[in-house]
Amino acid sequence: MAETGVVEPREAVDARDGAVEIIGRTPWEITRSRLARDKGTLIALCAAIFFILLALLAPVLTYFKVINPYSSNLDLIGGLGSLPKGPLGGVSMQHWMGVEPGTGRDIFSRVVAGLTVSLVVATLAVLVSVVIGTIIGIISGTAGGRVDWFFSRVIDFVLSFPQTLMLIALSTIVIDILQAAMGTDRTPASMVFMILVMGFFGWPYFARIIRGQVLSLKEREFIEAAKMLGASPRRIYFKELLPHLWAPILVYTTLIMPQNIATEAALGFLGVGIQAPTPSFGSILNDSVHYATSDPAYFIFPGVTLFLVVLSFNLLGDGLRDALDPKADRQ
Amino acid sequence: MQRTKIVAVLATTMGLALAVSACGSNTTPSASTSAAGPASAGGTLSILMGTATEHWDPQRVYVGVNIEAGNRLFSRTLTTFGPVAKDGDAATLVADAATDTGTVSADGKEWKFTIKDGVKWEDGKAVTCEDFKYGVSRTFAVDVITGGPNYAIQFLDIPKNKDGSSAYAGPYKKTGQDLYDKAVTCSGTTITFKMAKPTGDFNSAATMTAFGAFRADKDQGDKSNYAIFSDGPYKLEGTWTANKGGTFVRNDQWDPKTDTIRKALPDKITWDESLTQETEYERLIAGQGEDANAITFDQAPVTALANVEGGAPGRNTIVASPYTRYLTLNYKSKVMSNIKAREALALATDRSAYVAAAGGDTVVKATNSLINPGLPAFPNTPLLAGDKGDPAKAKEALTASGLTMPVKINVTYRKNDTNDKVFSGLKTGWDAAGFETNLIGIPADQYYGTLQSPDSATKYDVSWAGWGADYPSASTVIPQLLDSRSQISSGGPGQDYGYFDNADFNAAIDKTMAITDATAREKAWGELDTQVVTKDFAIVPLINDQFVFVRGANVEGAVVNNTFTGYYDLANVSVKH
Repeated sequence: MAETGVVEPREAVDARDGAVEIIGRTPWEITRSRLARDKGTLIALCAAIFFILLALLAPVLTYFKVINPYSSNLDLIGGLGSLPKGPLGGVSMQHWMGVEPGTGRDIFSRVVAGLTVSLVVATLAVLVSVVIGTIIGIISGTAGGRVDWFFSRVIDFVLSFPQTLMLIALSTIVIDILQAAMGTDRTPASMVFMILVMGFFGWPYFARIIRGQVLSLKEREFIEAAKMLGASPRRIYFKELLPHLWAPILVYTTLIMPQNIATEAALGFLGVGIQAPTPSFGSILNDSVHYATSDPAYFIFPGVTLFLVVLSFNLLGDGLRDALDPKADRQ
Repeated sequence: MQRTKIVAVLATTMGLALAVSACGSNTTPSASTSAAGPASAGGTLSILMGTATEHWDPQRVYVGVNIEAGNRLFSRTLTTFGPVAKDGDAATLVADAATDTGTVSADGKEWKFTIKDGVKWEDGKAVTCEDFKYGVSRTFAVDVITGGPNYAIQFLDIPKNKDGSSAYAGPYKKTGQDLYDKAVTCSGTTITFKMAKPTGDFNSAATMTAFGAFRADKDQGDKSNYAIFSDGPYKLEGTWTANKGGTFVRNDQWDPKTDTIRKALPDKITWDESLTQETEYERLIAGQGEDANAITFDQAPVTALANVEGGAPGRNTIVASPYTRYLTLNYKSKVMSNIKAREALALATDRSAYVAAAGGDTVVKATNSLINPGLPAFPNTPLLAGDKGDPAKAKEALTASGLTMPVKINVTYRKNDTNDKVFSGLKTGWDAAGFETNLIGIPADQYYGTLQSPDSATKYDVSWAGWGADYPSASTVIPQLLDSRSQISSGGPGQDYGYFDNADFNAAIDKTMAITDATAREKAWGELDTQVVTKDFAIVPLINDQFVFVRGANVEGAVVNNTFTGYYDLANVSVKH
């Protein structure tokens, strides 16, 4: 991974020595070539794609009974405390991660189904953050003056909120209201709640980055040129500014993703998040920590999976940032 | 009048009960019997707790743990249940601060107790008849003395206002004081209670600390909640800190000659309630250092059960709990007002999933009776469709109900990790029968409050609940849970969470109450239980659980007293040192 720091654009070298014809490359091509040389990020990318595919396929696999997150296997558990029979929490050919104490449900199935729930919540929450953050960032950056001051203070205000505390305090009431408004079960209501709240507390990160980018971009010649040529503000926002903002948005999306996955797990652990019997990383870990001494495998398998998911997205985000922004210094 | 709370399983008058008791051996209980050999006085007993004490005020105590500990440590009652020799044995009703277990008039409406000489408060003053009279009067101050049982209001011969409240408003407001002074009288050391109706088991109710003495000059109303003023063998050292605990030391004014119940062997008892149940059990099972001198009143959490047998061999107790866990089906809901839908739900209930999720068949038994097996009235109603339920048969019943399938139901339960698993298992059975179950877990501290709120009347179709008898008679079960007249009001359903309201059933309750022969009365309660479960399908009994306790290696004489609350009895406990 260290080699990313020494990457030099090839055309610069070529241009200097003059022997080779100058090859024009788009920023995407440059990024791709940088990425191709970064093995760590590539592995992280493959892992992230694998997890996303698995999450997308989970409902299909559940439908065709390939995985079975809800059925009890009472014959696989027993004794005082209803622990799984057999070593490592009942690991077998049918149950790769063993079975859950008390019910005998397949842990692998529950982890896969939980991955779907966790990733859906994390992704939608990031989307909410991106949309709000980008809009406010662009407005704040271009308008300047009082508007900028106002939005900057709003950002400070939101960032200084104790997010976890708010989530816990609000959860019961807001989920009840959402449930009544949506006319559904508690699970979709609590998912919507988590998406809205994590999305709401995530946007200032985007808004700050976007605002900074816009501030530097708007002094650049091509914007001045566009203004001089009489381009409408709409054209300036969408055609001139936005294409230059994709890179930071993408980088921060991949960096906020694992943060959201971890937040979902932490909230589930505190009993605020997704409710049983719907599996999610949070609800599985919440249950398994109580078995830390009597059935450690129940905690280890889902815990390691969560660790891998978060790690892959984190590494991917770091790698993308390096590839998209050669000036960023990792040290 | 609360749900979890105290329990007594067998009384002297009901020797027959032993026939149904799980531990059939009939050892004569006596205060001096100890299985652990000669016990030694001294040492420090440590009590580890994961649940906070809400009240120590004798009149406000209604949790079994505090009734037991309060009585054995610092609040002597007129009568009590003596300690037993072996886990699960039946205890006998014995005199405590009174000279005998009371005498009742021929019509059953007047009870007399005489207070022993030499029973003293911790400041050396004698405990008088007036102190007992004042103590009982505090129960009537329902706006200040909250949380305790209201048997005094129910039993004593004091008229009621139109809204059902007592005409006597307690010793603070003094409204109707003359009425109380007529119902409870003192003559020398003899206290007389006049009952509104014949009450043959008043002396069993008198074992609750709510019937204990209280000194008027020490009464600070609500501020007395943790201000322990002792007439027992121990007194509080310093103050009690809520959620942390306190330390009990010897009360030098207590005279062992006046007390046949309590051996009071440890010199000091520390009570630490700042723990979580998990850490508490980790410490108890490890039993290191001071923890070897520890006991607890918390049952082992399901997650610790697997470590109990291997980690604490010979130091654990598994004993039937006095509770029955059951479902109430809400008559105010559209779905559950349909008898066929109720029948379908009862048929589809998979109790085997409950048993597994709550810790396995060693500690949980499926039941189809609302009355606990420990009570003489236990009818042992057979399960409708085995312990797994019968979704196919249930589906037939549900089809016959005429409701559109899948039938949506909202099911509430007291939220914890175990119940989450229990109910996801039950949901599978119900959904297989054609229900579409929506599970709603409600946090423990709000659970019963939510059920009892009138707003919840049409919100939930099925609700989980648990109940244990207050003293060993089904008179504290069936009427407390199913008599619509005493339970349902504009303020909510009381303990009749399912709004079961049946005039014939209420008439049957009155008829049963009037039966004077205990055996015949308890049998009649059992029949009503079977009727409500198999004919009306108003209640779906689920399971009876067993309590699992662990104690430290140095603790001797810790025996679970099933008759008196169902926890370790402190009377005979000693610490090897």
